Amino acid sequence: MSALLAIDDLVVTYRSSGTLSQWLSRQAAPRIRAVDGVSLQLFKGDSFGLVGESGCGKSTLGRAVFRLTPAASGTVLFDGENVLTMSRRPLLEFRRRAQMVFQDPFGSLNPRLTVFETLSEVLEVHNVCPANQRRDRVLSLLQRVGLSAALADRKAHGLSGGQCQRVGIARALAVGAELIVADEPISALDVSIQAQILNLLGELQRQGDLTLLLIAHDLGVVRYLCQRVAVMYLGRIVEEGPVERVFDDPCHPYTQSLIEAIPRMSPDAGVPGQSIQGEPPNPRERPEGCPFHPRCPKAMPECKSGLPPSAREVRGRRVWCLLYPESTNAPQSGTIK
Amino acid sequence: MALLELKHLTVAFGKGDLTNPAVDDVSFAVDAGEVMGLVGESGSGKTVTCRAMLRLMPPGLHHRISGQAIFDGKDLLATSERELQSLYGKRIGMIFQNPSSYLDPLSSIGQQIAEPLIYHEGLSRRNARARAIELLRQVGIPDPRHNVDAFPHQFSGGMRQRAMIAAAVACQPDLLIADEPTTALDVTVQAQILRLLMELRDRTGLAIVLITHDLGVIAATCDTVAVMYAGRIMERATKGELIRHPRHPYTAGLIRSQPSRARKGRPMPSIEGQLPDVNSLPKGCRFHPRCAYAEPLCRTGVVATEPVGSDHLVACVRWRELEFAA
Repeated sequence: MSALLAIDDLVVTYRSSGTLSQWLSRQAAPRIRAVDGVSLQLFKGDSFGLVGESGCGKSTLGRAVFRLTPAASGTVLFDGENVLTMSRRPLLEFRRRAQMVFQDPFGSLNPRLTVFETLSEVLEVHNVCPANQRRDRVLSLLQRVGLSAALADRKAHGLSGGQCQRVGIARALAVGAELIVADEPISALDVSIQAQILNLLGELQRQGDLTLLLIAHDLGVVRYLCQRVAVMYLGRIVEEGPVERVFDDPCHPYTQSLIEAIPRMSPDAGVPGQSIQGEPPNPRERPEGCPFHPRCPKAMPECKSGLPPSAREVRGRRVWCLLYPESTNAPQSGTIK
Repeated sequence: MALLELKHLTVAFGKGDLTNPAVDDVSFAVDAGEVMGLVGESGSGKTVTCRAMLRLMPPGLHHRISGQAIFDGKDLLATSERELQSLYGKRIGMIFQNPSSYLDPLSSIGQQIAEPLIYHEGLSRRNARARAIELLRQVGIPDPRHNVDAFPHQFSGGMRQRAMIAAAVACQPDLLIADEPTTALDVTVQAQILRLLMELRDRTGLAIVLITHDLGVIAATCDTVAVMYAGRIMERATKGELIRHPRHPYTAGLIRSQPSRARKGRPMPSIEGQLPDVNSLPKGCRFHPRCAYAEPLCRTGVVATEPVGSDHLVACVRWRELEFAA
């Protein structure tokens, strides 16, 4: 079976603003590699989580898939076609079949449009249904995401954060999207509202053939909603595999520290452990060797130089770490099934 | 006697309805060395409670405050401005969610930590600077001799929060008010900051009021917890008691809707509906429109805060009948 979305060796760079001295001496400012050679595969019906701390490149990766941020190199195959080289017409078709849900529920809606206008605009652009059926279509969408029809004539400022996020999801469903990339869809919402949105996403995913790429920093959310997960650090994937394997038995020292740092919701919990020192690095200062070695509690001399480690197959998942022996037959890209 | 005792604090805004104020009859007490968590969702009034209690409401905002905030025998709401100035920074320290908006971008980190030492303790600039270096070392800033002259923009978010903690505890206060101190930070940095706060408490006997929306942070750090919803305290208990045996439907709902507790493939327990607007707070119990257990009395009656056990208070009409599995 071929993957619905296959990202291969994707690199996204940003131009940094550079320092004053670089500007004065007319030196080109260095480019920052926000995403540094990421390969991922999502099959139809998958729900895949992408986790990491701020600045690790997870959002940039999501945006690059939609060409909202240009990629420097690599390929993004959607149903076999390379999105990065698509011409206008296939790109429009791709954007009908794949949709993004953003973090900021208010910022991602046009404040001048009512809910009805927001949703009927998408139907119009993608020519989903005849104009006279749009109203019915919008109302059924609202029902599907659990919003009352009375809200159809409100604008974004008249809605709560949770309601806005439901409109954002309705907009993605309006065109019958097969792939939804949700970038921190609940982190701007209150806890009691978060559960509602998670339930909605989970239900939609179970109902249909929806494929979900969930970008989140909250591992609990990913564990609840996803089957597979990739952990990113400084633009690279460090561990990837089935959610239960990765979270219950993390292999990469970074995944281990990340899981250890989460405060536990238990009456006897103590302050979370602190095996990891320092702070998430600045992508401008990418270290040699393994990107994690300056903070790694298990770093060895060989981690500090050369190329970043290659993938190793360890206990049913892939780990990019020198602590584990290199397997001869580990696929360097692609997925363990 | 408690170090800080808040009694019947009520805050009403501008044209706000005085019979249904934004923060309504909030009481709690914090002992020396105790870490008390004030947990609630956005708009629940946790920040307003702390700001009103310290008389730090934004200027120009019309509001009325009543009640008492007794800190070490003195009512903060009735003392003179001058007396407050001698308390803040010396006996009461504060840290906030977003350190960059509370640090002065034009003075060095060292100057900002030295300021309370010069003002309150009369230290010379030289001695204050030496203390600032020592404080930076204590809060885990690398190379403090060099970083004491750095400016806030040269620090990362976690380092700024550490610097703010250093300034807040410079004069060894008895009480630290921490308003969402780790919300803007990554989880690995959050763990470091929480650990630092707990170390300070263990070493100096500092009492901390920790305002947060994150029950995980509460579980990791607090001794006692007060749960706020729409301007009222719904439940107060020791941490273990609250998480094991919540008595208020809201507390139970909050605990159940944590993603980390959800079972995969099953719908996650959620609290239906949304938070009420400050201008149209419900009568009766403020949680009743979203409560699965609401009955007529909840919609109209006055909800008394009643003791469940020795260290457990709950404001629910039906607490005797309701049991929630943790």
